[in-house]
Amino acid sequence: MKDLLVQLNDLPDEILMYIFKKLYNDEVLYSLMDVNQRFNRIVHDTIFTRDLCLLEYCPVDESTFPFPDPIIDQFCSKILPKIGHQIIILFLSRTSIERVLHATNYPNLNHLGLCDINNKVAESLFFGIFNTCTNLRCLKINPSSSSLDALLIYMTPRTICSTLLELHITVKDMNDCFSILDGRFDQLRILYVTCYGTSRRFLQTDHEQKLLPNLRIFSLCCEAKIYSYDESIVPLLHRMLNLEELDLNITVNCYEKFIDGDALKKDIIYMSQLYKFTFNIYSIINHRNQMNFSLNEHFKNTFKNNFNNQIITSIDHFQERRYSQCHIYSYPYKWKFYNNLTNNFRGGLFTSVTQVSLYDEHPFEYEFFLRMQISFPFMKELTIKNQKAQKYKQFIKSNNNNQILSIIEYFNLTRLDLTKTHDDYLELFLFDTNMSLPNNIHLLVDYESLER
Amino acid sequence: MAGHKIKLQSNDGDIFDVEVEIAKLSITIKTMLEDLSMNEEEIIPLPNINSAIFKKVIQWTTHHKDDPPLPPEDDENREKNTNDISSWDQEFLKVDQGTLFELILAANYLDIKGLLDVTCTSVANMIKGKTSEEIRQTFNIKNDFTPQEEEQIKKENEWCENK
Repeated sequence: MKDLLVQLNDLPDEILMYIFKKLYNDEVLYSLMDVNQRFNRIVHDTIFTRDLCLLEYCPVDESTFPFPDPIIDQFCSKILPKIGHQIIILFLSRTSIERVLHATNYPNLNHLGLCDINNKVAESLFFGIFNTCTNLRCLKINPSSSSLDALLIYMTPRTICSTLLELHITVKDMNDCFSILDGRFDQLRILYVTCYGTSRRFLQTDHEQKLLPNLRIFSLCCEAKIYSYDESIVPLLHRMLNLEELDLNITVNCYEKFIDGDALKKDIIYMSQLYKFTFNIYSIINHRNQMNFSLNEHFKNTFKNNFNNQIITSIDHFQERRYSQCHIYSYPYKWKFYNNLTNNFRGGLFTSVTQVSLYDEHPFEYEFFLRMQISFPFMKELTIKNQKAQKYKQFIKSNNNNQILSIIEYFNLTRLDLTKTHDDYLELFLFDTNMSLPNNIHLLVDYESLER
Repeated sequence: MAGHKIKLQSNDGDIFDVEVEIAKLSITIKTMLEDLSMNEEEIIPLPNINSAIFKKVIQWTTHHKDDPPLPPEDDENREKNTNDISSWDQEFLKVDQGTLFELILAANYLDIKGLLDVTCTSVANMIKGKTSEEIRQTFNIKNDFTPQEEEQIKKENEWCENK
């Protein structure tokens, strides 16, 4: 008797496509290739084969995990040899890179992402990749790596690739950044570079003086203090003749003068093609002797009329540590970190920020933490460095008996670092009824402070 | 007008009185009523749906009548979250495979995007993580490769297993 029940294979192609599109491409290919001839025809559609991500991604902390070996084996032996020529975009993780790249040819691959790869693997691969993937236009290496996995490029042999148009990379040192721009990628249009260190000495070669007329977008995020901004960053930017978008996220050690609007105008804004300039710049001046700083108002005026977007400026003088800090940034703020926030903070909305560190030589009071709740609604990590006792703690406590204060709630907080703080902040965050924190926070605190 | 009803007939002859607002969640029925100016007293035939499946469709649309419309599907940024089936829908979809696939066909014919979406997501969840052989077993699919093709697939599998 004929089975009257409708089965999966009875559904029309358009519905099967609709169902399969609910899955990631790797899931479609792994489960449905070689089921039967009809499924094979459907899963060979370019919508399932043009981009492939052979790793697991965790959006919570942006980490990646490799696929288990049997799954990678299945892809390397059965699936990739059949669809290699159709793949245009490919994301791989450390353990699978070599096997996958050797499994077949990828003549049309032009976008390759390599995640979670350590320095050694990355450096050996960095050169092989350009021989294997001859049509590569976009390469992303360790988009969210730590300093440990950053690449060291300037010491390694110079490999030339004239197809690469876009590069996202994390490197050890500013010298690596100069190496990338030494002409080895002469067609490069877009460069996003995160840099974890800066040498006081820059190893400029002849190649590194070449002009970069093709570069249109440049983003530099340097985690370490830059000591010779005028000799390194400014000449580098001057080589980018046709730059259209620039993003600078840097901390600069200055000698006499902070980086102000006049300096940015002289060094950067004059660039004829530049239409988008976002920046988050800290300039630091160490107090060697009596210094005369320009007045705050005068400093602010240097930004007038030169910028399309709103610019926020803030200057702090730290007498105990003997340095002054000037923070300037374009607003709306677009970065994940906000470092060295002080009592000078005047509020605003910072929806991109997930990590905040506070430092001041004056105490942070209740009202300051309340303002932070409004300004940083998505803050996940908070570090407080402040050794000063709160002045108004008692006042707030006695006042609280008479009127109800707003409760401070950091809804998304997952990590709280109180290792370099006065006990008052420990008390506020752990015991004060006006402070509400989510459960399961990773708390860093000195044991002695807890005992007190 | 709230509570106003129309008559819909399944392919096995049963007639259902359904509130207009609920029936109009089906773009197919909405188009019939608006574009073809069908008389409210007329019985609208639904030749592709039997009464058991249509009862399920009415149950689903009644529960979801106040849902906001779904955004249009975009192939480039298509939604991959196959975990977001509400607990009510999960309970509703505890049916045999035949009923599930008939619901998909009914949702497609009636053009009810929300129902099509949730039923297809449910099938996608059944596919996820299974090998091709497990897919054949789960969904009773016949292996129709030629002996030569089958031999080639076997060789590839052995290569995998011997690794």
